[in-house]
Amino acid sequence: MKPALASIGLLAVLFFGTSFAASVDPSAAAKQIDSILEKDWKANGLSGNPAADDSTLVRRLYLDIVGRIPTAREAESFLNDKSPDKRAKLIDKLLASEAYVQHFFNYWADVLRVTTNGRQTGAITGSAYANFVKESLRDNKHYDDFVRELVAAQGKAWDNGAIGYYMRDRGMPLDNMANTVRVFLGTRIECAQCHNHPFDKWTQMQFYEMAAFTYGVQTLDYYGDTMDDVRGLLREQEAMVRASFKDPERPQRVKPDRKMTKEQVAALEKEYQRKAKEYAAQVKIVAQKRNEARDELRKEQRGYQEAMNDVRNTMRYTSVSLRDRNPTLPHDYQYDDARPKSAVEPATMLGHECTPRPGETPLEAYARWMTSPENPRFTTVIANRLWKRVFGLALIEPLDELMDTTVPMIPEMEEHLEKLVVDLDYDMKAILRVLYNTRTYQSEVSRDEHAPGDVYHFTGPLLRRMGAEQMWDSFVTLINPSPDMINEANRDAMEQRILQAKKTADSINALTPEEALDGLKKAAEIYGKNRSRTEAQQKLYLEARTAYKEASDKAEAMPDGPKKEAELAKAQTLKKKYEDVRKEVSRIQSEGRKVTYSEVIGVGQKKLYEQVTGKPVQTVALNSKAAKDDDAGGSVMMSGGDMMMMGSSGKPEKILIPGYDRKELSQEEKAAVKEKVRAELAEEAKFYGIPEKEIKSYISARENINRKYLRAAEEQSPAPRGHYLREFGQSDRETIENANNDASVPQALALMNGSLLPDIMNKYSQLMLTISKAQYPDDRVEAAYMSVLSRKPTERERETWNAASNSGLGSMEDLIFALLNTQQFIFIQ
Amino acid sequence: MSFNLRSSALHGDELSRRQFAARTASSLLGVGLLPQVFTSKASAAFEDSSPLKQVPTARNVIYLYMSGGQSHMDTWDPKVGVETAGPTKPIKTSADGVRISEYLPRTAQQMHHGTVINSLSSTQGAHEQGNYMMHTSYELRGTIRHPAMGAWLNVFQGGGNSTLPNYVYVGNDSRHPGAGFFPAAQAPLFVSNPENGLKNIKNRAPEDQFMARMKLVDELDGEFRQTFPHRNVKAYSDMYDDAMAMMKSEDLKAFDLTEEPGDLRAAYGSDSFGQGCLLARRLVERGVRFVEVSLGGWDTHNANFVAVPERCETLDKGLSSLISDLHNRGLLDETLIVLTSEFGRTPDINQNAGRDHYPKAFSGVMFGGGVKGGFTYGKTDKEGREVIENKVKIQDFNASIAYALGLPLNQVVYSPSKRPFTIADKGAPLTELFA
Repeated sequence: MKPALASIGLLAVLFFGTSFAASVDPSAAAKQIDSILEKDWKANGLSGNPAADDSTLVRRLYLDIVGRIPTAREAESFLNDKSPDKRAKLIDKLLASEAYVQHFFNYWADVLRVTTNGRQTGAITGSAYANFVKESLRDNKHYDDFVRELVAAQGKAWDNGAIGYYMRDRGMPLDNMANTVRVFLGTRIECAQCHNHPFDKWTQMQFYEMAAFTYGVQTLDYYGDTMDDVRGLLREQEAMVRASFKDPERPQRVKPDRKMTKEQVAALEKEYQRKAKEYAAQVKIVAQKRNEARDELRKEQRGYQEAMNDVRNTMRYTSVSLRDRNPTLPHDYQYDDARPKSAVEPATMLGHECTPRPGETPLEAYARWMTSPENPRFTTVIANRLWKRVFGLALIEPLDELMDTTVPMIPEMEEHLEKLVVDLDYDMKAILRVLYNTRTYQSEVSRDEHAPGDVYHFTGPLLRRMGAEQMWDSFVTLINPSPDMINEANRDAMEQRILQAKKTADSINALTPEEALDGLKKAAEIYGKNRSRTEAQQKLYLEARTAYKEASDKAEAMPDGPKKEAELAKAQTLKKKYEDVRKEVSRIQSEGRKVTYSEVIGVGQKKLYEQVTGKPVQTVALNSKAAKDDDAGGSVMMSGGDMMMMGSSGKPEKILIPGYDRKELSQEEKAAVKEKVRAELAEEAKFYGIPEKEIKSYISARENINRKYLRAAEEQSPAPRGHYLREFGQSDRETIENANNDASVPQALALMNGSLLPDIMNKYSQLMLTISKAQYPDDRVEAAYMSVLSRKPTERERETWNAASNSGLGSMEDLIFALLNTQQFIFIQ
Repeated sequence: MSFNLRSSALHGDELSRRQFAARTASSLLGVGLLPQVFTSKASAAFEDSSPLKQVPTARNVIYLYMSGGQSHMDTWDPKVGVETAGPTKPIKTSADGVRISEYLPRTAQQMHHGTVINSLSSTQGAHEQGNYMMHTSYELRGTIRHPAMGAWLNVFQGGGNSTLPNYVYVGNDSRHPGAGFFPAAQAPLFVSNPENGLKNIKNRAPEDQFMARMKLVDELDGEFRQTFPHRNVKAYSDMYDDAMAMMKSEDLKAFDLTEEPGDLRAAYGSDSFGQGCLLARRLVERGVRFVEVSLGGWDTHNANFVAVPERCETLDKGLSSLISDLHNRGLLDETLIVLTSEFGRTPDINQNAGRDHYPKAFSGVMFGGGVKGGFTYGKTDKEGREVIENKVKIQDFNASIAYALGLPLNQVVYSPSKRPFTIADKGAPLTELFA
């Protein structure tokens, strides 16, 4: 079992060691980039932007690398640091933090359309996919390995979260291929799905040839392997039913004996004709009997189907596998090189050929081809993605519409950058480290606006609006004293969801097909009675409802008085009656499912327990869930995907299997965990000088903050509609890179009038704790500026504020409202 | 036909407000100015397209979406004397020859205002795919999002004369395709609870303090704005102006349902669908042109004949009140009410006494907005299995809505990825529906 809660002390940023490509010295590599850019500026009569000061840079580095503004303390500690290499040190520290993972996850979630909300990818695989992306960033998995694992992904969600890459486009293999080529090769070919590309060289044939590599990837429903065998058994049953009706014997024509008379021959023939006729009639009868029996059986098997669907629904969309399958050209294929509807063999559209090595699946070979340095666009795309992350614009815009004629803004820079990417072996942190260490990055942003379509010479970074997540995470920073804290509850829920699906799948697979069939049979019997039982209730329901309406209409029409009262009371009784019937209908409808759970999955769990532990099965009474009336006598799935069943004592129980379940914490243990968190918060309170008598309210306010204000990457992906993240322009994950940084009225309304300001003004928010430490009014103003803008106010700003203070404004809330609604707050200089 | 412009007469005395109104609508939704999709290649495509000559019959659309797959058998296309009918019985309506289900008695009294289409046919049998196609006319794809009708309306015709967003969605369906590939500003304003009004529309501080704070913002930010006179910086100043204008807008009263008499509110039904219908009427009155209200719970795989009558009661109150209310206010002629769903449900009743998904044949209904009253279009067979007359594809159905609004069906618009699309994907409008 993992610790239920990680330390959420003041230093929640976790540090992990990073390996570095030894061959490249980052500061030398940064200088090389600067000198290439300087050469370009010179040639174009430009000079680089002035160096950025420390205040500007500390804010930018935090926002660019870890996705949020620095706290006042973080900013001050950088500003007060006198060491000459403090910038390089800060870059290293930030790149090594968990906050880097959170920030870059937001980016990749937008590129890869990662959803954890149960939509297209499913809740289980979606969670596993998000975890895969986060782990890859945490381990600083080199980009080529990362992509190879995505593109070659196979297996079950619990073994390989990368299968989310294919599950995301479930049922749309052609679209998936177009997305792959766009995201990783920077090339748009979706037009060529229906006809030769009108603006580029790609043919429809090339589209299908590329699609042929991944067309065999299957994302169909998964029932567990045992269920496949069960379906085999059901088919056998059908075959047996067929066989139980013997084919009639086909009459044979007897060869007439040479000695026979003409009459005898004729009689023989007549006899044969009679038998043939009889045979034909028999064939019809047998066929009819077989059909009847088959229909009867299928009717019976429909109950099995229902029960099997119950099983399937517990682990839907969790398996990706590969089979041999080629796409066929559409029926209206209009070119001469092939006939419509003919099958297409895989072939690469650009670069070198893709030839499988011995032992490699075609998909693995394709993934290797895709991510090879010999595949030039693969490197071009990631080089430009990272460059754009750092400078605000790519050397090639847009970076995912490459053509043979594409010319980078600074060709020498592009060439050098691509070489650097390959030299650093696609190590994303190493590449970013070099770029952040350039003098050019550490310059002021350009004053002039860059117009789309114009060439930019990268004399410094561009002025950018914070992305949605940067905005939200910055508000989190102002509110939560541990801004990067991990959402243990959410991470844990995701992990549990994945493990419970594995538990269900393994439980099913622990059964023999015969055992599974036995359980299914019990559920099928219930399902078989569903219709007649429901229809009986339905009738009662409609009658009761009509009676209620009549009584209620009658009552309405009456004048006030005791008679009306009586009629109303009668209506209420009737209403209760039909509501009771409604409940009974729901009960009937869920009964079959409960039986499937206990008789198939539950029996499997018992068997799995015994297999895993070698001991007879034991159940554990649940102390957290109270039993409800309608749970009695069956098993139910809880929201996390784990199953509970009613024990003989009438209390809910669960089978805990080592490796799948954590031990259920006792009340005491739960209390201990909670106490530990509170002790840490009390410690924190002391640090901020909270008086003893306030500590209790401090702790409860902080617990509330910890629930409400967590970083974007710790929340559902995407955040639900209506969340601040969505108002600020977070991608809905429907199409690639769908985040938008446009100004919008709902956004302005949220910033002026939303619930953020009151929470920022909470006396125990990060900002207010910082401000209240300051003794004098001037210091408080300074603390506000340092917290929001990572700098001290200018003389003019002090004067403006003093003037405002003299004319009606004056509370810290007025100043903070103003600062949060300035544009300097949401733009990154 | 000519519009009855009573709705705008409500605002005759507010001309100066209209001026910023136009700006608010255009900045919130990007309407008024054609967005960047209409540049270079896109405008070239306009030259080739043959604009269909048509006179709009409706100014507004109220689109009622029955989420989950409404059983056509138990609503608009009930059958008699066959097993597939189940216990549902048809009843007479206010229109001769039009019969609908007994579960919709109030709506039955309004059928002289509407047309029932009993021959819809879709190719999409799963919820997400069916819902998407019904809203966009295109198949759900992994590489692009297509716009819903309200977004097309925004792009081609812009806003009404309201400070309010021109396109509003009332409901909780997170799958709504919204603006599709158009800029996010074309997306509907999402209202999840019709009684709560617009989010964040009131500042928490007293008016004069709020104004003083906003002045302070300008003063403190002046230097930054001068240093960076960039368009996206400027966009924020404008956006704040617009947001503040909206906070003061009289049109916000549309969201105050308590202005309505209690018995009318009750007639619409106290649930969020009924109140959503009422809100839709109030929005349309103030110049909002496309309002969608959704009602879920139609996925009746189990116990269909318990679930459907319940859903119908909610629908019946909201819909019938909306029709008669619009009619009484003289707004029904210029307002097209459309009701439909992603698919119908199987004529065969399954073993859980429910009905399953059935895209092959189902129904849609239209009221007002220039459609014929008391009219039925298309037919299914005796058991409700097959369309036997005038099959209507989803694209044709949507083309008919666009036709009523006078939108150019043939005009090709290119997505940012340079793919060509048209409203309703080349569907043919059912001109017979219109009076």
